[in-house]
Amino acid sequence: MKIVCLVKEVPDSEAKITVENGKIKETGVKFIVNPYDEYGIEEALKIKEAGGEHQVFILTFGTERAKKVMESAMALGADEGFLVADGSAPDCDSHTTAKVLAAALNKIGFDMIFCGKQAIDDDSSQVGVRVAEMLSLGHASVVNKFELTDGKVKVERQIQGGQEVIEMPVPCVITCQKGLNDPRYPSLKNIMAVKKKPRTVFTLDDIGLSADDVGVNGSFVEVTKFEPPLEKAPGRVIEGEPEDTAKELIRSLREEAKVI
Amino acid sequence: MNLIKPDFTYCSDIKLIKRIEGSSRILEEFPDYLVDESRLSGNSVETIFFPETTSDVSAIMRDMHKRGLRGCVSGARTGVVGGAVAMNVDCVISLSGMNEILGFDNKSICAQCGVTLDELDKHISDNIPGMFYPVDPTETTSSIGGNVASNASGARTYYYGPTRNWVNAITVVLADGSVLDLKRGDVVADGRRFRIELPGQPETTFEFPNHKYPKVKNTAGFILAENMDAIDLFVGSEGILGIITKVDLRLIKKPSNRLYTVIWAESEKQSVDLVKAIRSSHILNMLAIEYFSPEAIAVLKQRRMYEGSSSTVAKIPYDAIAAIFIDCVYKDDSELSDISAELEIILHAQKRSLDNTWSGMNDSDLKRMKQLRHALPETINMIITERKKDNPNIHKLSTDFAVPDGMLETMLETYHKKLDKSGIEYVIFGHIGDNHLHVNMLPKTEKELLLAHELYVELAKDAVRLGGTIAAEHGIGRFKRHLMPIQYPPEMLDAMLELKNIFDPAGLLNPGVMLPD
Ligand SMILES: Cc1cc2nc3c(=O)[nH]c(=O)nc-3n(C[C@H](O)[C@H](O)[C@H](O)COP(=O)(O)OP(=O)(O)OC[C@H]3O[C@@H](n4cnc5c(N)ncnc54)[C@H](O)[C@@H]3O)c2cc1C
Repeated sequence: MKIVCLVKEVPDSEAKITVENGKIKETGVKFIVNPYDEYGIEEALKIKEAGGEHQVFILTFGTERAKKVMESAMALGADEGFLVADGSAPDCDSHTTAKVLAAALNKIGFDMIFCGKQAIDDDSSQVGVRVAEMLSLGHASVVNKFELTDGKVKVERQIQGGQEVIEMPVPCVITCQKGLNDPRYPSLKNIMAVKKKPRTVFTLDDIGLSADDVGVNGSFVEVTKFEPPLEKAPGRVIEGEPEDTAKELIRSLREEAKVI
Repeated sequence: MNLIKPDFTYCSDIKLIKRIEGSSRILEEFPDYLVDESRLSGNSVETIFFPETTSDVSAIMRDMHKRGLRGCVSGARTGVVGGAVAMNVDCVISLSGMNEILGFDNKSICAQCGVTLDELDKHISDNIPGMFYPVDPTETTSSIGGNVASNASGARTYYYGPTRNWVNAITVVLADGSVLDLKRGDVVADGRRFRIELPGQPETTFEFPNHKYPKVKNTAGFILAENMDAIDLFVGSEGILGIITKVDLRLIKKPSNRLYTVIWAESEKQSVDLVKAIRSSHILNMLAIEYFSPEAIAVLKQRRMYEGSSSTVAKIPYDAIAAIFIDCVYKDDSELSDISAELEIILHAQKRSLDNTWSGMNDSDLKRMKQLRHALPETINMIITERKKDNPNIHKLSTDFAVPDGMLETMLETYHKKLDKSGIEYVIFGHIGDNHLHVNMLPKTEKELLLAHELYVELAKDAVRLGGTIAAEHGIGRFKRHLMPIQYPPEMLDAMLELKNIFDPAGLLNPGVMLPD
């Protein structure tokens, strides 16, 4: 089975994000594998390690820079890496991103697809499901239990008040939730082995797309600006007699903070 | 020049200095200011002062000096040896409000003493790109003044040394309120002799005996060395000579490429052999080498089993019995390959392989690995809290001994032999690169607690016998004064006492700290 894991490059969760002129300033920020994608890679590796003829592929869409993240993902133990590299990646919405990934998936082939339930940078939670729809595949999202027997997938997802159980044939798309498994750490051996494994970089042309399909041109959604969260206002001490301070507290909660 | 000569400079109006007054109010509303992380209980005080400048501190000390009041010098109160506990004092001088960065250039930063390590790091990364302050005591809410006063160190001390090595200059307010500005290199001992001239006093001479200090990181008492810098009298002085109000620190270029690796070992012996091989390698450039003993790994595995996959503790490989963590610097991919090849050889010699590692290069990787380290004291404290429910007197005892290279195995053998015999539960972890391991004893009963205290003294004697120290990084404080005579001969203790008496003859600053009676 060709198991493909979709991986997005996201800022290190430890990074300090600053916004300049409505854009995120990327100097000094390190980029990592989207943490939810690691659950997908782990599940794929588990299938492979359980025996049988399986290969685990990493597929990333990003700028040239994302090659590093693709390699970090491979360091968990994947066999091959693919990057669709295009400068338009940061301007692509979920629809366009899914279009690119679906085209790449068609090019490399697949029997099973895993991805994270969402990326920790834009939290859109749409890409996996859109990819499935574009490829006319079954899908289950926010999955926390996965089983594969005789070409059939049985997954569980947490819903209000209980667990939902879904069965479907492969190929299908699974978006992974925390708790699905314990993503492994890369060993130094696997980190070093990446450089000896096949790594392919596609252009848009290679997967049959053009500049018109991607970036602002291909997207329905345009991000006009980023804003940093509001700085927390300093606290205020209300001084005076209890009757007065209580009144003042109520007044400021109602009129200034507008919370009551 | 070997003359230490403080001055009276500008001093604030004592009446205008922020304070909280009234011992019962303080006990009720502000009890946190009376204790530190040692949880030693002290007494309440009449006043807690919150100075904001060196002049404020000078005014407070002048006033206290005039009235013969004793004070507790209080930083961020993260100390674990009871140095900042209000005990037998009349007031607390809290330096928590002195938290301004005073200036910086591309290789140094000057800060008020109350600035925390977190604040310092943030300021550096925001304003001085590419540079960093390399000393990393685990507790990042500690103050830089407290760090200097206790000569703090951390995992990276293996490579960068303790706080002492990074102090360019300090400002100190002495017990009489006079102010001393010291810049490294300006005042140096003439052999083993300083001249000291306090305002309005005749000049005195402080001469100290020749003493061979252990060749390990050491925070026990004053480190008095031939031709030493006067700054080093105050670095590690635990607030008993004066109040450090301002610190100028040296910065260094932040190494950009780092490889963090956990090596899972099958036994303690294998871990020690790995450490020895790593230390003697010329290819590996280690900033830190840390250790998790079999007892530590067992505690972490147990917590993980109990809490399941939602635990903050990662799932440790089942065949891992002990572990070492290394923090390694590399220049480029080719050097990374060399490092990996070298580690492969080292591991192979121990019948292990690179498969038995977790590695990463990002801050988030480091954070995940650090989580293991943090989870350890946290879990130990959880165990102790549980035991306290049955017996509130129970507490853990944590050693801070270090021994010279070559004595690591002997010290570990001693620990196991004596601790196993005692039957007291224990966990060992820490800075194995510096042969500095923390033994945490976790007594279950009052009887075991007593035994643990006795064992502590015995192990201190063993550490000293092996050429080591009783206090490698936490200092002496109020907790370990009784151990000082184990490490120092009477003439050294006398010299330390004489130094204290010259600067603070009335014993106003931190009475009961560091020096035995
Ligand atoms: C979880 C934890 C982990 C720790 N890990 C480490 C570690 O890895 N390495 C390490 O070295 N320590 C460690 N410590 C101990 C502690 O953090 C350090 O000793 C730290 O340097 C204390 O700083 P502080 O500002 O909290 O000082 P305080 O606790 O307030 O005071 C410590 C001593 O210094 C004196 N003092 C404080 N400020 C001044 C000043 N401005 N002038 C003169 N004297 C002053 C006090 O009187 C006292 O004697 C740890 C503590 C905790 C709780």
